[in-house]
Amino acid sequence: MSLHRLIKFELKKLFKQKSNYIGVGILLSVCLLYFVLAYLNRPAGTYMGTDLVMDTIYIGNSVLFIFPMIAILLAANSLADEYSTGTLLTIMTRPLKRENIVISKFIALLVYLCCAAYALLVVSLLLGLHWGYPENFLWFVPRMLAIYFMYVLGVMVLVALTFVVASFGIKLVKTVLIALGFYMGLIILESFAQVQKLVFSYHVSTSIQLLVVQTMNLRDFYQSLAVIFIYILALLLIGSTLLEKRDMTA
Amino acid sequence: MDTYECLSCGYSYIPEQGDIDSGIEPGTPFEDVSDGWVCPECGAKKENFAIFAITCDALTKKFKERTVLNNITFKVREATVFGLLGPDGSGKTTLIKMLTGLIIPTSGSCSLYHHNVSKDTVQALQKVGCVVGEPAFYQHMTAKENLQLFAGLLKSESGSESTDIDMDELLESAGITFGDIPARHLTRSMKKQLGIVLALLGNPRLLLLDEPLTGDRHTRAHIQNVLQSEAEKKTTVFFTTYNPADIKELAAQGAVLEKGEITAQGPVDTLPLDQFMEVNQ
Repeated sequence: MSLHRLIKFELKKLFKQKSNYIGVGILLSVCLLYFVLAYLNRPAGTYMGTDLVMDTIYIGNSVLFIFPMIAILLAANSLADEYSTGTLLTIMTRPLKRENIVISKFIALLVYLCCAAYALLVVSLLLGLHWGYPENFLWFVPRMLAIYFMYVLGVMVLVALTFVVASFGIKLVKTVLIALGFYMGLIILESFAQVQKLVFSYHVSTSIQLLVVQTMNLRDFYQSLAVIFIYILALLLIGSTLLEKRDMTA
Repeated sequence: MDTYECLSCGYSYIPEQGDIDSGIEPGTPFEDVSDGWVCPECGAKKENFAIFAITCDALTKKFKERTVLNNITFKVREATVFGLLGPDGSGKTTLIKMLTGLIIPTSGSCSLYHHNVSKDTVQALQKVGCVVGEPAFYQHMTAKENLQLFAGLLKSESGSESTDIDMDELLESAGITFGDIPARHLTRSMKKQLGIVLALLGNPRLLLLDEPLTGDRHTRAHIQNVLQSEAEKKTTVFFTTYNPADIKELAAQGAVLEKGEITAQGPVDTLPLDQFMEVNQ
């Protein structure tokens, strides 16, 4: 059974579950709420559509918090919940490599979160029309796509981290809480200059800052990208190894 | 290509290796070996060779200090219906989980068609259908959608997608009338019935079923019919049960598992089933 069949299987499951749309609904609602607030408080001339697009990611840090929350919940639902309900055992009794099970879940969530992030981008671009865009706006479009992708990639580190926690066979709520605890711990570590370069979220912020500048430092960007990928690969490896080596007694 | 085993001495004819000393080239299937060929170890004739679907060798499982299965050794020949009888807590589900690679043995080994389950899980589970414990399904999907979803994971031998299977026909043949009911509303019997249909997807040559015959009389009858028709198709069926009547009705070979140890095994009519009948009554 090839990986692409498993990815299709995971995507079908993910997009068929109505509750999975709640997160996207919350994100878009926050975006609309921010638009209303910006509409009331930001007069044209001092504010541009591009500002709205960038603000949408940060929106008083609310989206910055909601998005990882949604990712952790979806990841926990994808592995921890499937383990406790027994559907994971049904999948594991098929001739499938354990690492492919983890990778397919990861890719399906990447696709899903990209869809959510780009839906957010499209909505904020449309809402930004109210203030208009500068003439040289077009150069920024691919950068915006990359910025949103970097953000999703950062969130995917949390997905992989949640998979590692879930691989211990821990129940859904505990998995979410432990993953969130790790995330908070990493955010705290990021504020210490001595260790911040080791924390993935620092590199997500750095890469986004680099992408905003017109003449970006490619070396630093690739360095940040490499750190994020190392995090993802290492966590996926740990997750799939744990799944392979432990007894499925549920 | 299947590995054949000598019933007298246990020598294995592995097609990939052939038998160079007897002039049989590597890659020669057993069926193509001449009738005059004899076992290089004991001189037994070709007819004395058979395929073993399941081989358990000194299988032991301990959870911390508690021994759940102790030194389990048995073999199941292809195209046999094999019943494993044991009371609750005897280790039946643990054994099925070890056969499907969900639990790793503490010592010993188990193989499906000569593929070690722990080391070569993917190869061992090819063409194997399983029901382990109580089958679980995606709650937000109907019974039919669940089947379609899992069928999408398989590819039939002809290369076409298994989703091409006519699901309505499949459900009808298995006596399932609840195809459009969401999985969260299914009863335990319905789930068991659906689990068996799921195990049958992709035409497996070996079925590993954990207590398939629990549930109401109607469901039992349907499942019995399905298993009998699979047995007629020469599918190897290995099932567990706590009810000796199931073994008498369905199995040709069997074993008795008590407190994690096999206390009897062989043809069903040689097993001490009556003492379990009394306990169950």
